[in-house]
Amino acid sequence: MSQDKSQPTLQRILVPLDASEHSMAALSAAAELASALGAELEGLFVEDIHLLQLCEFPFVREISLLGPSFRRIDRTETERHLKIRAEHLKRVLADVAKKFNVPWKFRVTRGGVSKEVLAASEEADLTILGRAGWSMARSPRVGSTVRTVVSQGRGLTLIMQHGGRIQPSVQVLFTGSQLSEKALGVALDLGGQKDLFLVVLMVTHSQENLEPMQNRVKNIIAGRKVQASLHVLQDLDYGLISRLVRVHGPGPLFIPCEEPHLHGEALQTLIGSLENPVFLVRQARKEK
Amino acid sequence: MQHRKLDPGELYRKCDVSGFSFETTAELEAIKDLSQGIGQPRAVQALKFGVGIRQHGYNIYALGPGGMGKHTFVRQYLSRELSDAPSPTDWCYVNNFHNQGRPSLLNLPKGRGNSLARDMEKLVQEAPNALKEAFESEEYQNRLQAMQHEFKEYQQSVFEELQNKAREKNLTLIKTPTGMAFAPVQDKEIMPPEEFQKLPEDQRRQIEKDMEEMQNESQRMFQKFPAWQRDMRQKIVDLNNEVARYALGPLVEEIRNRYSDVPAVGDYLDAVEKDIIENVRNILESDRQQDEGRGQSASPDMFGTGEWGGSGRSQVMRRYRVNVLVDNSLTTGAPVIYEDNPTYANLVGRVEHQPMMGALVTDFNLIKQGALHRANGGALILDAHKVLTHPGAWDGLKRALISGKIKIESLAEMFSLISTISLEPEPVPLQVKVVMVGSPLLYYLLKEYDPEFVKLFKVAADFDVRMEWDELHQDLFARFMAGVIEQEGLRPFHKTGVGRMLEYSARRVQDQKKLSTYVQGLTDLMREADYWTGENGRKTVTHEDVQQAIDASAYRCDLIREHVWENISRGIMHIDTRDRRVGQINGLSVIALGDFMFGRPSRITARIRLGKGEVIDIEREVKLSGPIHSKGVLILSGFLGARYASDRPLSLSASLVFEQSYGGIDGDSASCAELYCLLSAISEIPLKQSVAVTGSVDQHGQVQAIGGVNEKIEGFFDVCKEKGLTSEQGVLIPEANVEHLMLKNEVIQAVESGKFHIYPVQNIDQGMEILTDMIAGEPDEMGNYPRNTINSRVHNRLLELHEKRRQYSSNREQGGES
Repeated sequence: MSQDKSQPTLQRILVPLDASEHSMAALSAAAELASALGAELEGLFVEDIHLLQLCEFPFVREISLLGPSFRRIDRTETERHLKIRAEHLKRVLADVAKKFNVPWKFRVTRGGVSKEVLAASEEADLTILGRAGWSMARSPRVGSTVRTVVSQGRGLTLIMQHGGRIQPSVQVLFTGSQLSEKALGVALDLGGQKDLFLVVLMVTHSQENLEPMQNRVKNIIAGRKVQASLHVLQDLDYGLISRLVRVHGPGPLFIPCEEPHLHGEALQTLIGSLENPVFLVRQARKEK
Repeated sequence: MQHRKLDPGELYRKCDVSGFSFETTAELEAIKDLSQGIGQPRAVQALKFGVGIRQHGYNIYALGPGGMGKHTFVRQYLSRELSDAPSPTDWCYVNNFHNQGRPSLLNLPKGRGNSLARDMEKLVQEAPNALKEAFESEEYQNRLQAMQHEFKEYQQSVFEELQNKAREKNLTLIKTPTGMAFAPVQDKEIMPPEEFQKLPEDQRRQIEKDMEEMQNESQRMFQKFPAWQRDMRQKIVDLNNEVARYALGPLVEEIRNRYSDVPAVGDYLDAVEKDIIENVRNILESDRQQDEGRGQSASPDMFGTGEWGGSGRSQVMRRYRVNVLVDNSLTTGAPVIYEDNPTYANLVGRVEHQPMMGALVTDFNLIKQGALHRANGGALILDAHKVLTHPGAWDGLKRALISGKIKIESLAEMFSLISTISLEPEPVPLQVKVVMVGSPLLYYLLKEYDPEFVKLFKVAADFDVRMEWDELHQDLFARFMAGVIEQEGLRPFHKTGVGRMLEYSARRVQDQKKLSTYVQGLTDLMREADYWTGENGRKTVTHEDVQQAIDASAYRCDLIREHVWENISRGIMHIDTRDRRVGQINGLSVIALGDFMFGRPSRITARIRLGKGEVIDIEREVKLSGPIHSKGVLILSGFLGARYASDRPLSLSASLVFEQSYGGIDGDSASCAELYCLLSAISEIPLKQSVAVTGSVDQHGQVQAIGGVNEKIEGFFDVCKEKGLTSEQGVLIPEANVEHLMLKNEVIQAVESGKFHIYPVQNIDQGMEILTDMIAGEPDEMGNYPRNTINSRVHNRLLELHEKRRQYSSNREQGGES
């Protein structure tokens, strides 16, 4: 991706890291974007306070997948492990940043993971996080941290998963709202390389609105070197959206949030049904 | 008292060129192939036998002095004899997939080794691509992901079940850095410890109990994980094998079809296919590394060089290459190999190493052939001296011949100097005829001291240094010259030039009836004569050119001879050639300076006194005498005692010395001279100093043949000529040496003009008569010699000495009694 004047000014990209495969995918995507946008990369590792609290229970035993034995959880040892993991992640971040030649910083906080990530995302221009962390369960398909950021976050958010890519095609859910116009603009800006392939999923149940919406899309993409494809959806059928997005390749889907059926649990459900990265575009930017 | 002098015609065998059927050698049918065996019937027969017999141990030792053309002879003979023999097969080393330290051997029909190597190289290039395509295919990825997903699903279902059960008990399962644990929940959050402490005791106990139950439940469920994982891994392995076999199959099958007539290749390809399938992961990984490495500019020489220095594919795939050890695709007949540097490694091959990351590494690709490999199925010619002087080479050769196998191991391993892990290539079966070319000395030393040599080299091809000088060999000699002339582009030799070459050849062997087979000396002389012919502006090489070449060659070498003559002519070295002296004579010796020899007179003197019959050899006393010379002197005592004092003790003490001799002396050719000198000293009859003497003598006084007779005569003649010829001068030689005379023309002319004489003698009496002009005298029945004869003078003097000794002893006894 290359930067031009029309691109949003993203200076800080936050990547919460927990060494899961999804968070590693998020790191790669973040470094790629940071390199294209000239932004700084900020890694965040949260020492889970719940885990440390667990060590206070004398009867709690740790179960290992590598053997049948139980053992007591020791707080000092757990803290040591967390520190080791943080150092490891810092090295990984440094390596990736060096590879993409982007400035970086890394910080460690302690607290509830969702809460800390949410707080940190308030300070960032863009938060890129893995779809799920070290979740022990099959469902839901997004982790608790993502759920928190989706429902309470206020900035631009990119949710990555292992195997996901931010190129070469981008897809936008276009509802006709101002926010969806913004989402389309951000998608064009971030996917601003030459010969971008854009897929617009236009949602309208009214035939009358169709042409004006198409015109608005055309106006927005006018002058850009974009190859666009338009699909009209009668309503927000998550299954259909999921299938269409999958058909058009592994690129991200830009979703305008805070719209009817596109926030809260509904949005979480949609994100959970998608196998592509999801870029959440919100109306209200963070207040620094 | 008349003694025979040799006629000029007896001093030299002149080649009669009038009988030659050619004017120049250009008319002759040239012999270029020495293996026709000019003058070497014994060697030819031995080689024929040695090559023909197939049994073990019948290797050949070609013995003879250097410069006889043995190498050329043997090589040409073997090449001709083995040109129709079947060519041997190809030998290759391939990876042993069961034990990489012991590379396997592949035997292929002639010319198929390189072909297989090319086919395998193609496989090495194509297999990774085919595998990569197969393993990156959507079908494979889908199947793999499905399997992985299946396991994840299973794992997650277990976790979910546990989570659900935990939830029912108000617990949750959370992941810890090194495992997982259950935690109590309060208001959908993990219960803080302080909250837990606030709970009533029964609730706390209940939570603890629930947690224990869940832990036990999780343990029960997790126990199934390893088996599941094993199954999953096996399924993935099976899938990988299936995909790899599918991708690889056509490539391997193509090669297999091409070598369907060589079962060993089929077995090898089975092993290759199996190994590639087992190592698919490494191959693909190496391929990936190589792709990544292309973008980097790291120096390949940082840690290593060559193939080992490379990364990725080449390293992983080199195990499937074929190392063609012996390629006989271009061999016609059986190979005849001459190894001119027979070091141990050059004979039996070696395993080379390459540096990688600071260590030396190797594999079957670095096995290098030796001369034995190349000669396998044919013949190997080696220089005995070189084999024996290179460390380990002789032992390595013997071991290979005894075992019938070529086993490659380093010298260090052979001597147990190191015991690092290295390669032990499968030994190559050996079927070779080894021909060692060397000196007779080495042959007899080996035969005496090395029992294995006797078992391994049962055929001796003995090269004669000479051949008959008859019409047949004369003709062969001339045709051989024509061959050399053709090969080296020399001018043709006129028949007079050929005649002079024949005479030179006879002189080399010091025999009027023999010709030398010393090829190198003859060819050297031909080249030099050709040079002088050019200098003289002639188109054919004549007698004069050959003579000029001989003279020039002698002149180049005779600086020391000139110094010796100068010393004699200036009187620094005393050699009397005119007077008569008691107890003094001119003996003759030969000095050899490499190829060049010259004769030199030595003044021998004898003194006697009353004694107990001992003859003291002063040279021996000061250890300047060799054993043969000492033996000759002891023979003199035997002669004196037997002839003159058989019935009484020999009552003299004599001393003999080579005057002005400061180097060692050996040989018995001076024993005649020493005896004449001794008899003169005893009888006090002076000897002619104008006649020099050579010859050895036995205990009966018979004169025996010696070597170097020509040089000795010429040496004394040169001294006499220098001091002035008096017509009295000459040399006494053994009668048996007459047919060895091939004297230079100057001597013959002097004899012809009566200025120099050569006397052949058979016994000591004849010699003494010539040297003293007195009659030797024959003993009567009583053993008494006629008066005024040499022997009577000797006899009487010895009797006189005996009487004096007896009287002396008697006086001593009487003096002792008083």
